[in-house]
Amino acid sequence: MANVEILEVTKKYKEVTAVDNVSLNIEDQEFLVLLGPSGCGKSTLLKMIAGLEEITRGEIYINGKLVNYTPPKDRDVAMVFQNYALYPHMTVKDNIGFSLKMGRVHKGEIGKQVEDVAKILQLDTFLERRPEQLSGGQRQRVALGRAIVRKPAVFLMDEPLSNLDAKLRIQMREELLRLHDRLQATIIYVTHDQIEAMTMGSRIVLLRDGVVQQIGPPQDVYDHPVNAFVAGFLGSPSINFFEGQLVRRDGTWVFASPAMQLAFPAEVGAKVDAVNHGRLGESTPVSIGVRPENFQVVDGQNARMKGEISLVEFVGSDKYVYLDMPSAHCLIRTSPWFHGKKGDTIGLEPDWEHFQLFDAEGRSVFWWNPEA
Amino acid sequence: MQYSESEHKRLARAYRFKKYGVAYLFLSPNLLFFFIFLVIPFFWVLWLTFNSGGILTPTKFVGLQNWSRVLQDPTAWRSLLNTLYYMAIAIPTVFAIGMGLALLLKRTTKFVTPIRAMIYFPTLAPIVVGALLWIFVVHPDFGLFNTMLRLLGLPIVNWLGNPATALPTIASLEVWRGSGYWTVLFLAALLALPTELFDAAKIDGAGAIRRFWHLTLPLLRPTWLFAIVMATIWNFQLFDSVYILTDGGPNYSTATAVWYIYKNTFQFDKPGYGAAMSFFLLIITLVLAVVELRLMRKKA
Ligand SMILES: Nc1ncnc2c1ncn2[C@@H]1O[C@H](COP(=O)(O)OP(=O)(O)OP(=O)(O)O)[C@@H](O)[C@H]1O
Ligand SMILES: [Mg+2]
Repeated sequence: MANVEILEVTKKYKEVTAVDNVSLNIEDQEFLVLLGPSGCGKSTLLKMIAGLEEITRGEIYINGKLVNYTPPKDRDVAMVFQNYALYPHMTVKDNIGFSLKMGRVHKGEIGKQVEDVAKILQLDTFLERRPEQLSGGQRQRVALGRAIVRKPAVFLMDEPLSNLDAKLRIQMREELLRLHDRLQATIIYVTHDQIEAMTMGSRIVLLRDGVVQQIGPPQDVYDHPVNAFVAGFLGSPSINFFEGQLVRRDGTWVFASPAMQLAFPAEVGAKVDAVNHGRLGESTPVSIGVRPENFQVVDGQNARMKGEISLVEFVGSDKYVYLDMPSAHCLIRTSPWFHGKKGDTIGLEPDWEHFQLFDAEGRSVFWWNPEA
Repeated sequence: MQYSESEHKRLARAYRFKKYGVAYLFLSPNLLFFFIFLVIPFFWVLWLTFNSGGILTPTKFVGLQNWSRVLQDPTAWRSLLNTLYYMAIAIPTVFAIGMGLALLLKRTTKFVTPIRAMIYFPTLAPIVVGALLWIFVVHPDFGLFNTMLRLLGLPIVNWLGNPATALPTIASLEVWRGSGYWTVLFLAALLALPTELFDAAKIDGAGAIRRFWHLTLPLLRPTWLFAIVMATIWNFQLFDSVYILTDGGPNYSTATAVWYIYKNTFQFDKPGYGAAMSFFLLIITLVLAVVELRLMRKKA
């Protein structure tokens, strides 16, 4: 039971700023997901919370107590390392039980707890093996077991499921959520996997080059990204961007680009006016973003957006349709019954509910006021 | 099968020749020296053990007489026990110092290279230089040891003149000489250990001492294995510092196995007897090394 507060934390390695002035408040029992591209500072942030890396500037509090100067073992945190960090000379059993042994837990008790954890992680048949005799996925589960056997106040998990096959990953995801409920622990969870981030996190934090981009519940971040980076990072296949200009024509706003002349419906135009704050004048360069699932296929004749199909991918539950437009490309997601084929020209209509508009710096102008 | 059995054999031979031929080519200079300086002398010494006579007297075949006399020679036994006693002092000490320095150096971030060079320096010094230097350290009147004892107000010791302290004093020279080598060896091994393991152990609640016991020591097993076996083999051959500093005295208290072999072979003119003792030493070293290897392997 613990909340973790990160206050203006910065980590510098010589010239590299791995984490840049990050502030986060992680509630007690929260499942917080850290998301971001490789090298954005996720592992570094976890290591600072664990006490394995010194903090260059800023403060970290666990349960209201400043821990900058507290050694890892006194922080009551457990960590699953990105590269497992299993003790190579110990059996699976000893690996999982090591922290209990260090905590001077009675031998019989250690054996019992290790077996419980091994059962949850489906490791019971490997207890006597050493790490080198395990597959990557099995090792990862041992790493997970080593953390959960401790029942700490805070779990730090660095991509704990990255090496599991799809089926096992789903199982382990459920197990982790169940564990989270049962242990009522605070979990800070790093992942590359969007599905994991979306399904597990009560909130997600998006990092880029050590800087927090956005914090919020998964759906908020997905629907209302603060900038083009966040919009582009979340979602698979990723959002379509079109670059163009905003012009005023016949009393309405029009998005003008070689690919399309897209007049905004009245309520969207009103929204542009409402958030405009005088920044979006005539011919302002902007980009629009529409997710693949937010298109409607319409008759190609008098549609406002048109494209020629260059590829159709069948992925089971959906079809991904790649379109060529004048100086633009677009990917849309359709039902598997869509029967357009390569060479056909189809029309599109964006779903205005989920329409994104970004200024020249890539900041979202619909949902957020960057000047505020 | 489309190729005949004999065809396969021929192809396999050609393949293996290609695969291992280069290896043998590179090994050949070494094998040549191995043959000239180890294999031939080995059999020559073996032949010597069955003969009496030396450089001045004619050789005469005496069968196993030299071998049986070794077993009855109290000085031979004494020198063997002295050697074992010396090893019991020197090896643990030099390992402890080497490991201690390596652990310290691992944390050092400033002046790393000069410090390492300084620590390795004694290993590079020729033994004669080292031994002469040590005379200044252990000299009863103006040596470093006794100067320090005097400063502390303690009685001084005649380090090399006293049978009780002579061998430990020689051990101290060998420790000084050897610690640099072991420090560098242990340091290289320590630096190769993955840091994440120690991070994991920190989080698992292990303090510095328990991390050393539960991680560092077991992870360094391969290094220990090498170190213990090599130290055994090398230290069995303790000779030069004894020869220079005490020449076995006082009263045979620093007589070591190789020193006694040398004495018999070259000064008492009994090469057959010295050869027989060499063989005993070889067998004992071999047995000890094998036992060590077995013990260390089993604990895995
Ligand atoms: N010990 C170090 N010394 C110097 N730079 C480092 C060190 N550790 C990390 N970095 C740098 O800090 C940045 C953040 O690294 P970090 O490991 O936190 O990334 P990450 O978000 O975990 O990436 P990934 O998803 O690939 O694991 C990277 O640019 C990395 O090169
Ligand atoms: Mg990482």
